[in-house]
Amino acid sequence: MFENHFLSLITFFPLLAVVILLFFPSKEEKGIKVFGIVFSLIHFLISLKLLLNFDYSVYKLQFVERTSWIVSNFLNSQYFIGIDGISLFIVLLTTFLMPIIFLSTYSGITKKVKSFYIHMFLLEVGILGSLVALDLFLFYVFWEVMLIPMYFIIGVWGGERRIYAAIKFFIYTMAGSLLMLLGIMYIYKTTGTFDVTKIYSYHFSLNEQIYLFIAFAIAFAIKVPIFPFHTWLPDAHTEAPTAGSVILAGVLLKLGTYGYLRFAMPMFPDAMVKFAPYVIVLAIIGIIYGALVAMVQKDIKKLVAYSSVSHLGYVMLGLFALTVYGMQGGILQMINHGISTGALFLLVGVVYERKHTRLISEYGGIAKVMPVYATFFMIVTLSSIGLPLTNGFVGEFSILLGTFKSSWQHAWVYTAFAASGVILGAVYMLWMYQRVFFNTEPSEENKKLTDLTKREIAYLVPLVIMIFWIGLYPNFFFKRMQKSVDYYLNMFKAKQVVTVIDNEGGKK
Amino acid sequence: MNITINYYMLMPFLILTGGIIVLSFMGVLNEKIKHYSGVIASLFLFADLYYFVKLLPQLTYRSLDYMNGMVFYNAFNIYLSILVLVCGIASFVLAEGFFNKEEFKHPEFYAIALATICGLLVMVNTNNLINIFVGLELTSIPLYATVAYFRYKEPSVEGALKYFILGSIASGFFLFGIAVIYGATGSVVLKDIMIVKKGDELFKLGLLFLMVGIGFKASAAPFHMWTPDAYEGAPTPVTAFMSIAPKAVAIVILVKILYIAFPDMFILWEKAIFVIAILTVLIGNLGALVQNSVKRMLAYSSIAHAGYLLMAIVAFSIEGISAILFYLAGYLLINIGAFGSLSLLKIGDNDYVEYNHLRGLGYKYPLFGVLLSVFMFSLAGIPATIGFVGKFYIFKSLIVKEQYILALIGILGSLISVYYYLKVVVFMYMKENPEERNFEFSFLTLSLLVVCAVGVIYFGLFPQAINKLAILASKVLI
Repeated sequence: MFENHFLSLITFFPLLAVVILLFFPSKEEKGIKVFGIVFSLIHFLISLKLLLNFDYSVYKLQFVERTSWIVSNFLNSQYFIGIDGISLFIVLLTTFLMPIIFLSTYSGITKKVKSFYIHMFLLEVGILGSLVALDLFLFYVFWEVMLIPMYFIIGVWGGERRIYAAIKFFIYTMAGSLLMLLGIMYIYKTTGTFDVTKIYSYHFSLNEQIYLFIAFAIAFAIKVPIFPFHTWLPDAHTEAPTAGSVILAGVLLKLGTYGYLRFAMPMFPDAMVKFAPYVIVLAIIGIIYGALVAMVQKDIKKLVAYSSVSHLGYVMLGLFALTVYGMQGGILQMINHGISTGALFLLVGVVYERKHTRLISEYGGIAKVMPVYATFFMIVTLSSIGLPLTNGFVGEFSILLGTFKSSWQHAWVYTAFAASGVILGAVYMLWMYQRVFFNTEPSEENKKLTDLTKREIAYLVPLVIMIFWIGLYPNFFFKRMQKSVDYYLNMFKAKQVVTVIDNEGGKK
Repeated sequence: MNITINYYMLMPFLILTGGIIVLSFMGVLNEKIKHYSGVIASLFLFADLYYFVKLLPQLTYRSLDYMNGMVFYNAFNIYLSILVLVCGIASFVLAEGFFNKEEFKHPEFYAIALATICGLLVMVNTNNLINIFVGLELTSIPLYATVAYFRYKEPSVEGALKYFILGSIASGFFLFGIAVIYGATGSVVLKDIMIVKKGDELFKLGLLFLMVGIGFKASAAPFHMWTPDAYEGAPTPVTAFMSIAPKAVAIVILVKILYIAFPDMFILWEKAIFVIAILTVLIGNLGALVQNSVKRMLAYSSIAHAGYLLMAIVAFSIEGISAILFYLAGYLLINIGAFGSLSLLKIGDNDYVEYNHLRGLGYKYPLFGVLLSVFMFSLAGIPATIGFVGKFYIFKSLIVKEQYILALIGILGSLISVYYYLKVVVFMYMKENPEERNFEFSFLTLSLLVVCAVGVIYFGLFPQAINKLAILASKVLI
């Protein structure tokens, strides 16, 4: 039965958890937590089959399912899902992070445990659905449904200003989405279909493309977030519980960049070429601005949040370089960011649970007290900076190489500025590390801090393994993206009317 | 002259008239039977519903005309009648759960409500301006009475008075419009008006007066002033009813008058509706933004929803009409749900609800919290609910007709509305220090709300069933 509907099974599997959780008594907190961990682990193991059965020798959409969903005179939408090399790893990242998050919430979430788990599972359905949907209407439904659980996660389990942050997050994202909705309607009006693969082969006029691209780009820019649309992110991150932050940074932001790759770029290639310089400049501003603002943060979590803005700038830069290296680096960097920043948020959550403060000034010298913790933190910090042997290096290097080889005018200027972000990244991360872990003798209060428990080590180890795996053997991932990236770039090139982008990166 | 009366054609109105008589006399019968007045009143509505549902399959391509359009059945009218009746039954259920059994004089209330519903049916199932006016009055006058049902409460009386005075003026406008149009064409039948060549200013004047009169009833800006007060003063089940049925019928009558009688003056009325729709959406949403009372917020939000419906009128296409009809069906489910949830929050007969009263209710009454959240998200137009699909249809019909400005304003309105709808959810789930208020929820109302919520989500995911009906109904109009 599930052979033909394997992807649907993966997508809606968490709903089963929701149904089961509804029958749990609310007082059974321990049982609920264990159930969440076990269930998400099973989900992850099942989803590995996607990786094993993924055919990367040739580009095609895989695990495709198509049935008609809404049939009427004025709206025809299909239930059309499938994955390719672009979405594969983000799907896997989602299922990979979930058990880790649940392990971390074992001690982090104390109130209303049951509904928290329900919301997390619902959120996962929304995320997975958005990633696999190949029908614009279906995509939009998942894309918006995702907001509701996230809004509750921030608003109910968050910190002091959680309500403000939750509403800001919701309204910001909704504003972009609604613009995109108008764009989707217009596309349906002109092409008569929501099917993404059909829309790829349709040529919009340049004028249409420009407006549509703006509509889509703003929606995704808010999600990513690209400077200047990033203001909701620090608030949301600061207020969200650790689990919320991890899923937000790890996966939710990637949906924005994924949206560019899957929808905005292939559908509106000419507009994309027109706007690319501006987007690239915004991305670079984001890289540098995010790094500079991160530098002066007093709160560790806010620092990590701003580093997200900086890192996502790299991803955007890589995608918009329109070269094979850049795009692959961009996709890989999405995964890296999910792993490294997710790990950083988890680590911040660890000390926050012990001390209930995230101010850097409250710490200092705790490497003495928490040596294991300090080691983990160091590894993740270095990965975030992009030290060779870690995943960050591979991603950033590919992106910068791709940007340098791109056929944009003054590509080397872009590269130079973007590369300065790498240095700034090292500055803020290491400086923060120094102030938290060294500098002074630990205060009396901090001497009482306990080191990592077995449970905490258990959920950090997989992340560290991933960091080194991608860092040492990125080919495993590149191989699986290769065909998809080539396909998209070729399609892009074939659809170009205004300018021709040379795929190999030679100048025109 | 020998007129034979076709009783079959007049059946729905006769049934309801019978119902009014029966319920009026039930008050003087013994005390025991009083308790069943709601059930008995609903039976009459069900009988009507049965009549229309039986009639619908026969009318896919033809219509039934009686006395030159005095009574006129076609798929479009029947669709609306069914909506009105379902809305009536649902509000009766809410009323049963809402009113205090001891103090409340049941039968009269239902008799008055039946009169209103009968008026709405008269208004819908006709092609004749005079009959529309008769229906309008038969709807409005009992409604004034039901709004003022808590006659010892100041807000109730105040709201009813505003409603009564403004409503009467609106009726006057409407009647004057009919008179002018009759003067210009010598006919009050919608189809005949279209055939007559119109060139003179009288026509435009008549149309203007008709639009003003209907605008009042549909609570379109700038004729919306009575809405918040009347909605707040009325008992909540009455508010639920009047926010759906009369509004829906008013909008549809506007559609009928414009599309059937004045299609050739599209250029003229398009501009007017364009401005009115934009004003309505903005005023409704901005007004709702600053309210403290949840009921007033919902009243303003219902103004905004009228605005979205008016927008679809400008589309002037089958798609636009079917979008309106679909939206109305969805709106029925959601609004019964939203006002029904409010009607549960009463202590004694004090049904004043502020946002603050909602603190922590989501945890205290989990089911209630989930239901109200579903309705709020649906009103805000979040996908996977019927509210989203309805809005999608409306905006899409505008995009197809290249009315981008309207679509953008509508989107902007939706965005504003997210804030105040979410505020309800925020207070229920995210604010500390819950109010110490204990409610006794009526089981009847709760089960109706569950049905509504399931409908909202089910039709939000699989809207075909309603959509097919709506398209079938809208094809006969143009």
